[in-house]
Amino acid sequence: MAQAPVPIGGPTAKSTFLAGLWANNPIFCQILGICSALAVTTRLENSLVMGVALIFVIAMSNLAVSILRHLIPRRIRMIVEVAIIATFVIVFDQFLKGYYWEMSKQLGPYVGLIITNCIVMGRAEAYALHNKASLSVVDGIANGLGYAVILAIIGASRELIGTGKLLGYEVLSGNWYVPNHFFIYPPGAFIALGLLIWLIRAIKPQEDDSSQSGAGS
Amino acid sequence: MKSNLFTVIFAIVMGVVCSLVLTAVAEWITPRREANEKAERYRNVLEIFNIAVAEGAANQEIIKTFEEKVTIVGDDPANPDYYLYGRLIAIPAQGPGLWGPIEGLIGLARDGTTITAVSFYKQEETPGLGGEIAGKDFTDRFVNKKLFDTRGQPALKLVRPGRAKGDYEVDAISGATMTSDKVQALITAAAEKFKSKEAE
Repeated sequence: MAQAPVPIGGPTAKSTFLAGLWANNPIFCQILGICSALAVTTRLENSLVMGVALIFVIAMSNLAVSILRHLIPRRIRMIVEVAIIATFVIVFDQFLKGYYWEMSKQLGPYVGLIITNCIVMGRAEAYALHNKASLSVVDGIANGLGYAVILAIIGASRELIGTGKLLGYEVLSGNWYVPNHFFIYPPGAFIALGLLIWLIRAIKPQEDDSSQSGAGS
Repeated sequence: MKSNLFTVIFAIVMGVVCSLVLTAVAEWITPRREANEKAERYRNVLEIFNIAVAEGAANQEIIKTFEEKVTIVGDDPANPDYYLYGRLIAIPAQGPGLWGPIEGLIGLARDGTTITAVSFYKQEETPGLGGEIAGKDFTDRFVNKKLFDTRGQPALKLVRPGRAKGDYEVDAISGATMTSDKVQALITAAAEKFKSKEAE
C-alpha cells in the first residue's frame, strides 16, 4: 500500500489540528466545499447546523476509513469511502428530519449533498488512509471546524447585512439601518466569500501559491 | 495486492453493514418524520383558514387543533380533495413550476367562489422573481377575487402586472412570466378538480 509523504517525526495531534483549521483550511486554502458555503449561508443558524453536519461526517468517516485502512482493498477504496460517507450523511439528514424539521427544510438538499463535498472524500483519501484512527478523528474535526468557522463568518455577515438580524434577533435597529437584501440573495454569497478569502490570504503568509490550484464542489 | 475473493467479500460485508445502519436509523426516525410532515400539512391548512397556531407549537398541538376543527374530504387523507372548516373551503393546488413542483392552497368563502386566502408553501422558483409567489405581496392580491364565474367555470386569470380589474383578474409578477403561467395553470386545474369532486 502506498504511503503518503509524512512530515519529519510524523504528524502530531496539534500539527494536524492546526493544519485543518488554518494552515491548510479546506475553504480558503484548498478552495473546496464552495458550493455549500455559498448556498446555505443566508442565515447564521443554517451555517452553524451545516458546520456541525460536516464536522460530524468528516470525523466519523475519517474514523471508519482509518480503522479499516489496512483491510480496504485498494482497487475499491473510493467506492468504500463513498459508501461510508453516504451512510453518515444519511444518518445526519434523517436526524435533522426527525428532530429539527424546520432546519431540515431550510437546508433542503444541501445536507444530502455533503456526500459529494470534496472536503470529506479529500480527507479520507489524503489523511485517513495513511494515519491512525485517533489522529484521523482530530484531522476530521479540524477540517470540519475550519469549514464551519468560515461558514459561520459568512452566514453572520450575510444575515447581519441582509436582514439586520443575527440568529433571528434584531441587532441593527430598523430605524436607521436599511437591510441590504442583496446579501441574502446568491450574488451576495459570492461577494461575501470572495472578500473573506481575499482578506485571509492577505493576512496569511503564502507558502507556495502555485501548488494550490484546483476547485471543488 | 489482495485477492479478488477478498475484495468481493469485503464489498458485500460493507454493503450489508451500511444498509443495516441505515435501516436501523430509518426505523428510529420514520415515525417522528411522518409526524413532522403531517403537522406541517395541517399547519398550512390551519393558516389558510386563519385559525391561530402558536409559532413554535408542538406537533401534537397542531394535529389536535386540526382534528377538532377541520374536516378532510376525499378518499386519501394524505392527498384530500379539499378541506372544510365550517362552510369555509380550502382546495389543494399543485403542479409543476419553472424549476420544481409548486404546492399551495386556495381558501374559499361560504359561497364557494370568493377567495379568502391563497398560499404557496412549497416552491423552488427563481429567488427575487418567481420566488415572490410565496410572499404576502402576491398572495394578498387574490383576496376577494372570484375563482368561478356565474356559470361555475374556472375564471380567475393572472394578467399583466398593473392591468388587473374586476373580480376575475389578478396582477401577475413582473419579470416572472413563466412562473405566472405555471401558477395560472395549477390554479385552473385545482378549480376544475374541485368542481368535479364537489359534484360527486
